Amino acid sequence: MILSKFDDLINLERKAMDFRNLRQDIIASNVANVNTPNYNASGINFETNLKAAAKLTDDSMELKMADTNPRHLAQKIPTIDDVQPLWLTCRDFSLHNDLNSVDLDQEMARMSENNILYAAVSGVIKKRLAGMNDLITTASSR
Amino acid sequence: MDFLSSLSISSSGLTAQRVRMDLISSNLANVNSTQTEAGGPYRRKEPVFQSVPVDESFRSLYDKQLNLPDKINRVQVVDIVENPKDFRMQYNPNHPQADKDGYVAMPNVNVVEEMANMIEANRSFEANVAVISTTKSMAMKALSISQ
Repeated sequence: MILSKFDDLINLERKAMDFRNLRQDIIASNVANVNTPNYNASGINFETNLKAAAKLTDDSMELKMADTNPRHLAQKIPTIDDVQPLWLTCRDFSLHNDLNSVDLDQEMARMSENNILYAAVSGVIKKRLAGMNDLITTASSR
Repeated sequence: MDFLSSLSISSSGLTAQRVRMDLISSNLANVNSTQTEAGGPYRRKEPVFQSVPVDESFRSLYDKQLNLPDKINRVQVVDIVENPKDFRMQYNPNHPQADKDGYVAMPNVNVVEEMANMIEANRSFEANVAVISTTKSMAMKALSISQ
């Protein structure tokens, strides 16, 4: 039980790091193309989908319909690995005459936020692994 | 996607802005050049930026065929064009290139415009540098998990 919980949480944090990594790539792309005419800034939202999947995983531990008949459909619970980000593209908006929709200040602010939260998630993973390590060494030293 | 692609995207931005900066200095240096190798006064040069998809993966090519926008792009200087604007005519009858009315065709470079462009190129360059340093700090954070 504790291992499956541990696994789920590490998985969730790993996925969050992956998405933040992807967001960094997108910000790099937007900033590199800040002077490219007709370029549309893109972005992702993964928080909503990831939160929903995390909640489903959590609920599935307690609330799972019993399969009492072999003809019951197998329950497919979406796992955290299945989560896809929502892609956003900023169109019909431009700060310049060249129809480029990149807002440099906003990108910079988003990048700082992303960086801080990435550091936070990696810190949590580190602590979680350290905790598991403590648990193992305490148990084996008995 | 990984940190290396993010770094290569930002470095493409640095390269593009540096090319732009080179052209601005060329324009400013030749602000009074009334004669070029191709003949005629110097014409203002400007870069053409284009965004190109960062990877040639199946997914990226598939999206392109379906006319879906590519999500993650590098920037590339695809061309350097000469500005077709008219030359500045300056009255200077003693100049060897003066026409019969005493006017000399001067390059179509506007110093103020170049200065404004220079500041913009500088800011864009700095923004790309900021992205690179943030990417680096994120990569170090990820590496520190194993320590």
